[in-house]
Amino acid sequence: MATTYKVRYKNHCTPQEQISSGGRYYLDSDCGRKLTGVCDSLAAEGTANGTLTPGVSVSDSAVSIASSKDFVYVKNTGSNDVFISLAGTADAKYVIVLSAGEAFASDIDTSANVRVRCGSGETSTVEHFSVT
Amino acid sequence: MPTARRIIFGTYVVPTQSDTMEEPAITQTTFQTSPAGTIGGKGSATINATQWSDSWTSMERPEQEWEDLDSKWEVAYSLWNVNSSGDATITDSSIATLSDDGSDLAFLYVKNTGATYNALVALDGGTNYYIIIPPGGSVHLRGDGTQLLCNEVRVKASNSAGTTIEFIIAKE
Repeated sequence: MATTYKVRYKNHCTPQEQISSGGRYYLDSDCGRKLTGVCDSLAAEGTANGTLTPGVSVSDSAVSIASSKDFVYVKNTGSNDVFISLAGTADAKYVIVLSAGEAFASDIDTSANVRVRCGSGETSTVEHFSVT
Repeated sequence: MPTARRIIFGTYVVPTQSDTMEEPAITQTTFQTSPAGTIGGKGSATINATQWSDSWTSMERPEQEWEDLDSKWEVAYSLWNVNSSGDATITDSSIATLSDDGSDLAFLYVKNTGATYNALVALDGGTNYYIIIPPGGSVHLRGDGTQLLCNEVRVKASNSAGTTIEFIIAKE
């Protein structure tokens, strides 16, 4: 009995605009629709599978959560913002932010080194899942 | 002009495994042992009510009113390979700079609307394309608010035959 593994993921967003202060938000008329993309990860089609790692403590020091991986998922399960760097070098900028409850999921190049950290003096927790 | 804009966003991941039965034409699909279910998250990004240009989305179309292009119509403003579906065409050498604005990036969404080749995204002005978007897939992210600028985002295709994308690139 053969087992094959797959990761399907969806990133979607809904742009909205408010036409009067304090009023309700409507679908943004510059965009005109909701946006969604769904695909199977290029990495996970086959024999590779991953393990969800929950409750990882994050401080203002960098923590590497995925290197030489083909797919990564990170969710901020704490309360303070978590910053993400994909760069392979240690002096890289942390240019992506996840607030509480937000997640990032994407296929990535194997040269990426996914690191997370909080702002100065802050702590949080993340869960992550990656696949080679 | 709206008084405010925001983008509601979410991520949904489904890790599965399929076991082939004695008769190989039949498979049983279940969640992978870990996480044993779906995983994901959601959030809301507040973006500037006045965006850097009407081109902050790729939804510009040939039938759009020229007045919406502000003053640039008279300097031979190009719609940058936007076809009738609202998608933008890119190749491995025709690298897309989604915005020429130097403001802090608040939110980025890119979908690969092509059918064959991957779209590659760089967040450092085009040096390292760490993010890969398979056909049909998309990626979204919030900028950190200080370091990532709108004009540092680059998108290209993984093959010279190219692909198409739709996008949102919004400033703080």
